[in-house]
Order: sequence, then structure tokens, then C-alpha cells
Amino acid sequence: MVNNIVEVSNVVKTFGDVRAVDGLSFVVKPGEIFGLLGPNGAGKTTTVKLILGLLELDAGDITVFDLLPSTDEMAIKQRIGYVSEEPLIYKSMTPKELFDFTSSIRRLNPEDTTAKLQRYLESLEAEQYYDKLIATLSRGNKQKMQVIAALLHEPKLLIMDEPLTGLDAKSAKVVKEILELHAENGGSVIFSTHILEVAEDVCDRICIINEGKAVATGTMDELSKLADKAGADLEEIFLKLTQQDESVNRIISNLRKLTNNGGNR
Amino acid sequence: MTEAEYSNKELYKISKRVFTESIFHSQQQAAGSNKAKFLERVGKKRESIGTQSIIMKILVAFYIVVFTAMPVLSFLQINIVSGIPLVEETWNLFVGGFSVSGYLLLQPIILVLFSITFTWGFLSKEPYTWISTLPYSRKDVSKISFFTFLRGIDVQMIVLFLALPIGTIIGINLPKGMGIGLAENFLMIGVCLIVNIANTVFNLSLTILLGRKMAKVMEDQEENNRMANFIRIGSMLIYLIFTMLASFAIQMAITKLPLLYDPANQFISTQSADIVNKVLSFIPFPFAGGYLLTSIVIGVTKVPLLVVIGSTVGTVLQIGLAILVFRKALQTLQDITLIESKTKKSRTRKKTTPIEVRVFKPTRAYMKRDLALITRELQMITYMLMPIMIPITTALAYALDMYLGKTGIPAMVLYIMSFAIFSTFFIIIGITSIETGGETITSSLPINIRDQIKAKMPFLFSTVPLMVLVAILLQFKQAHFMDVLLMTVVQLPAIFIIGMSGLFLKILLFGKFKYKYVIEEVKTKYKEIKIISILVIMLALAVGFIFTMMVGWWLALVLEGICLILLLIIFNVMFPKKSDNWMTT
Repeated sequence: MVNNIVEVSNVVKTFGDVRAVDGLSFVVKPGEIFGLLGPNGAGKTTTVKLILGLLELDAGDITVFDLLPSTDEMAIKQRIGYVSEEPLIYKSMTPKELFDFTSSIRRLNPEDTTAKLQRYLESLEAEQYYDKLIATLSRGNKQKMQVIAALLHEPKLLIMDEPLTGLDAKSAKVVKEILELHAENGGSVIFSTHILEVAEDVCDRICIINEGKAVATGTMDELSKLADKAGADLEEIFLKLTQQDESVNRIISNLRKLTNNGGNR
Repeated sequence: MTEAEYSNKELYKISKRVFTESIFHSQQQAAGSNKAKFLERVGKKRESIGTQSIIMKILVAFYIVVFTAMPVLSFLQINIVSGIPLVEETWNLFVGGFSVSGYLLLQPIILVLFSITFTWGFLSKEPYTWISTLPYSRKDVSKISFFTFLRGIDVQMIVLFLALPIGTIIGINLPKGMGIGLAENFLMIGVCLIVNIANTVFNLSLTILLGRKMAKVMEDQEENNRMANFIRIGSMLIYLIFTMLASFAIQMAITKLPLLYDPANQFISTQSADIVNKVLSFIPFPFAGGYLLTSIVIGVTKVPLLVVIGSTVGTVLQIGLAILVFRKALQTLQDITLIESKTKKSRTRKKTTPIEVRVFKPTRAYMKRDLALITRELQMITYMLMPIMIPITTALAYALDMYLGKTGIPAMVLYIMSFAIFSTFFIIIGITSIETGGETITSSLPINIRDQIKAKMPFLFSTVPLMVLVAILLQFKQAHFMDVLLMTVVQLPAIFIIGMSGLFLKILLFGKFKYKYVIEEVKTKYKEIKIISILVIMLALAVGFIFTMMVGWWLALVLEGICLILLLIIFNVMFPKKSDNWMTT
């Protein structure tokens, strides 16, 4: 019986003299959408890569489905669907070839997978790109194909690193809906983003990361209590918890001064 | 699923996908500013992705097979002339050792010359990043990278393995009508295989190491500090210089080879050849193998003992060297699949760049932009430098008296000048194609086309005349050098005229591209008249130049002056110096 899908405990990862992840801890429970929220360069993508076993830990422990990414990477990858921020999928393929390829590697049932694929392509209005070269697709359409490829094997855990980047409003809404359905069916999602509205909208619990450290973890209510800002939106909570509220005010005041002094136009 | 579930056969199959992606990746990189055009082409015709690699494979195989003539001819030679009292074994050993070693040396040169531009695709991390996120173990991904590389060099590897042994069989058996003993044949083929395997492994490993270096340069495009720029430009220049030297070496091999096989033409004394043989046979690559093989073909009892010992020791060292380089190459192939090292590099270089906006005159700003784009792409730098390097190489070969047929310096000058016209048009394509890429996001800027064109002139007018002058100055030892120099200087303005005419015609005829806008004249009226005027000027220059040169060089200069003035007038008509030539595209 698996209690937590992912357990990250006191994880440290350094690159040279930069501590990208610095004593990070959190757990992801079954059936929840867990948000990793932080500014650019906070350590979100590094954390995701550590969970996937693509990077090695310097200290701490990570277990995924009670398995270690360093030794059981194959078993973990079989149960994970990963969507990267920059579409990593092969650009020399058509989506048709991509889905054939990933389904073959994951050894999926062709009939079931075809039915699922048709549903996803239709939902994301991507059927017309099915036999076009991926390299020639727009950023958003590439992202749609990547999302579909990550969903076809019905993974127990979806790891999504800024998955909505480049998607139009309608497709973004559909992807969010897919994630919610996935969670309702017992699957878990790690949703890494720097967009506060998306995290607030989609995630059940959020871990706010800043400079590789977990600043706070909890539901929206728990976070607002921690920030001592009842009823506040995530932006205010985030700025307060990451102690950036004062510096933001200072920056805004400087910008106003600069604009009032007149530019060079 | 366990790690053992993927067999090598399955992984080899999967490597086909990775190979296609790698080739696609390297072609996309090489397309540089023509990326949009490239994508449109492959979007319509996907098979074209693999075509380049097939052509390269065939080209490498062809060159290796052609140059196998070197050992074949030398073995034939040894067999034919052995027994002729005038030809000593020392000379035979020198000819055989030298030409087989030359052949072994040409192998990596050909491999690197023709393979590296597409090898870097499957030696970059990009194709392995996605595959690492799929259910493959690290060991599997590492194997996939090895198989991908094998797919890239399969034809070359087969040819490398087989060419020398087959060549040796032909070379030693043909003159004797297959009368040579089986045991003798086996010994020769055995030694040949040992030398050849060591050499092939060494060559392919070297290609991996150099290809990875090149791939790293292309991966580091995002790095934009002074040092990264320096390394990038330096690497591209080294590659281009290498291609120049390699073509020079190939040219030399073709032209000088017949001399080597001519028994009457012993260009060094037998005594010197003996010393050279003894020294070279100890050098592991490429000489030891060449000398060992030749010694066996001649007969080990007939060659000095020191050469036999030296070439044996040298070959053993060569095998050791090949193993060492192979291990390093394997490590490199493993490193490619690690995501860690790339991340590490980009994270540790966290330096703060001083923030400063520098405002230049628009012409200079365009020049800086063009220069930045040219130095960032191998294709662009090739467009700019190759038309200059090729004639200089030929001029150098001529200056060093490397041509068999002496055609005289006027023919040389004619060659350089005709190449100057070709180079000019090549560079025009280069400097205008900068504008066709999506990278040059100038379409939202208020472009002053006059400035844009003016910025391109220095590239056009500095590179070709420089090439012509260097090529001519290399002939300083030739008779009538001063006359030739004067004649060349008089012809230089004609190159400017041809360059300007070519640039204007390109803008007038192909200013608007199907894929993207780019340079178009401001005043588009009377286009036909402008085209005809330019063609008339070029014709007048061509006819008038010959005529005026017969009268005197000063008259040719006057004619060139008139043509230049007329072209400047056309330039001002096409790109007027008024404020209304500001436009947004």
C-alpha cells in the first residue's frame, strides 16, 4: 500500500557553487494536484528532474511510489508522464509517429490507445496536425502533442513543468480539466509553475519554493494563515511568504519615479 | 520492468529514430538563418532529412576507395620493379611506407572533413534529453547513443575496414597472376587487418571527440560572453582552416603521387631515404603501420632490421593509442546522455554582466548585427570565408610549385580573377541571406534601407579584394611579379563594380522572398530601367576593359571610375538619402 506517491526529504542539489535545491521537503499524496510554485530560477525544474531521476541527489532522499529514482528509474518512468517546459519531443517526427513511438516503448494496447488518442486530439483541437512535421508546428501545438504523449499510458503520476506555456485559453482550460479528471480518478499531479493564478486555480496544495528552499507548503487556506493574510489571493500570500512584498513596493516606487521624470522620448 | 528487458537489437532499432532526429537537429543548426526555408522543405519532403547523410556517407566512401589507390599502386610498383637492379629496396620501402602512411593519414582527414558537419548532430545532448525521460535506463540510453553513432558511420566504417585489405590483395597478387603463396597472403592480410583495425578505431574515435567538440560549440550558442564568442568563432575558423588544409593535402596527394611512383624520379638520395625510413617507422601514427605492411610486402629479410623492429613497436604503440582514444570516445558518448553536465555548466557561470546601452550610428549597428550573425553560424561563416580560402589555397599550391602542368602566372591570375567574381556573388548570397531568417527580428523596427545596404558594403569590398591581393602576393617569387601586381590593382575597382552590380541586381530581382521580406529598394518605380542600366554598365565594363587595357591601364581606371559613378547614381535612386526612406515592413 503506497501512502504517498512522492516523498522528498531534505534534498540538496548543487551546481558548482550554486545551491539549486537546498534542503527541500514535501510529499505528494494520491489523487492530489500538487503545485511547485516559485519565481524563475527557484529550483522547480531541478526538483522535477531529481524526481524523474535525470539528476543525482547530493543529499537527502526522494522516493516515488516507494521506489528510489537512482536505482528504480525504469519502474518509476513507466508510471510517470512528463511534460517539460520546452517541448523535448522529437521535432523530426510527425505526431502520428510520436504517438506510435511512445506507445510502442510503453507497450500499450493499440485499440485502447487509439481511442484515447482520438479523444485527446479532438479535445485539444489538434487532429489537423496529426501528420505534420512537429518542427513545423507552433509552440502551443507542440505542447499539446507533448501533453497527449504524456497521458496516453494513463500514468499514476503526471509531472508537468509549466505545461500551459504557449497554449491558447481554450486549450489551457482543457488541459486543466484533464488534470482535474486525472486527480479525480486517483492519479497525482506535480504541477510546476511560476504563474500564480494557474497554481491557485488548479492545485490542491502548493509548495512555495524560493532559492531552492521550501518557504511554505499547504492548501490556499493554510498558506493564507501562514502569511497572516486571510482572504488574500495567492499573489499577496506568495510575496509575503517569500518576503518580497517590501522589495516589490520599492521597485514599483522606483519605476514610478523613473516614468514621472520622463523618458528620452 | 527490468533493465534487461530491452535487447541490443531493440535498442539498435530505436536508435534509428534518434539518428533521424540527430540529423534533423544538425541540419536545422546548419541552416542557420535559413531555418524557415529548411523547415518548409522538410515539411513537404521528409525524406530529404536523410539525404544529406547518405550523400556524405557515399562521398567519404568514395574518397577512401579512391585513395586506396595509394597503397595498391605502391604494392604494384614494388612487385613490378623488384628485380630491376637499378631500383634498390630502400627506395621501394620509402615509396611503399610513405604512400601507405599517407593513405592512413588521409583517412581521418577525409572522415573529419566530410562527416563532422553532420556528426555533431548525434554528438549533441539534444536528441537524448527526451529519450532519457522515457522508460529507458541510463545504460540503455548510453547504448542508444553508441548505436546512433554507429548508424552515422556504418558505411564509412565498412569501407575503412575493407578497403586496405582488399587493396593489399590486389596490389600484391595482380603482377604475379595470383601466383603468390597462400601462407604469404594470409600473413599480409593478417598484418593488414591489425594495422587497419587499429587505424579505423583510432580514426572513428577521433571523429567522435572532434564531433563532440563541435557539438559543444553549437550547444553553447546561448552563452554570449566574450570568451564564449571567442571559442565559438575560433572553433569555426579552425574547422574552416582545417578544411582548407585538408583540400590542400588531398590536392597535393593527387598531384605529387605520380612522382613518387616514378623510379627515375628519386627526389631524395638513397642514403637519405634510408634514414627517413628508419626514423618514420618508429612513429606510431600513421607511419609504423605503413612501414610494417610495406616491409612484409617487400619481405622482412630484405629490409633493415631496425625498420622491422621500429614498425612493429610503433604498431603496438598505435594499438595502445587507439585503445586509449577509443575509451575516451566511449566516455564521451556516455557523457552525451547525461543531462547533469549541461545543467552544471549553465548554472556555474553565473556572472553579472554590466548593463549598458550603447547607441551607434544605424549603419554601424547593422554592421555589428551582421557580424554577430555571421560569426554565430557555421553556414554564414562558410559563406563568407570559403570563397576566399579556396583561391588562396590554390594560389599557395601554385606558389609552392605543386602543379604538374605549368600553366604560367597569367593563367593563375585569370583563375584568381574569375574566382573573385564567383566569390563576390557567393558573399552577396551570404550577406543578404542574413536578412531572411527569423532571428533577425527587424521587421518591427523602422528600417532605413540605405543604412542597411551601406552596412553590407564593407563585407563585400574588403573580403574579395583581400583574397585577390593575398593570392597574388603569394606569387612574389614568380617572374614579372610587379607587372602582375599592377594589373591586379587596376582590376580591383572592376571587382567593386561587379560586387555592387550583383548586390543591386539581387535586391531588384530577389528583394522580396517567398519566405520573408527582406531587402527591397525604397523607390520601386522604373525597376526594368534600373536592371537594364546595371546590365549595360557590366557589359560596358567587360568589353571596355579589354579595349582600354590595350591602350593603357590608366584608361581602364577611367572607365572603372565612370562605371562606379553611374552605379552610385543608381544606388541613390534606389535608396534615396531623404527622410522618406524610413519604412516599416
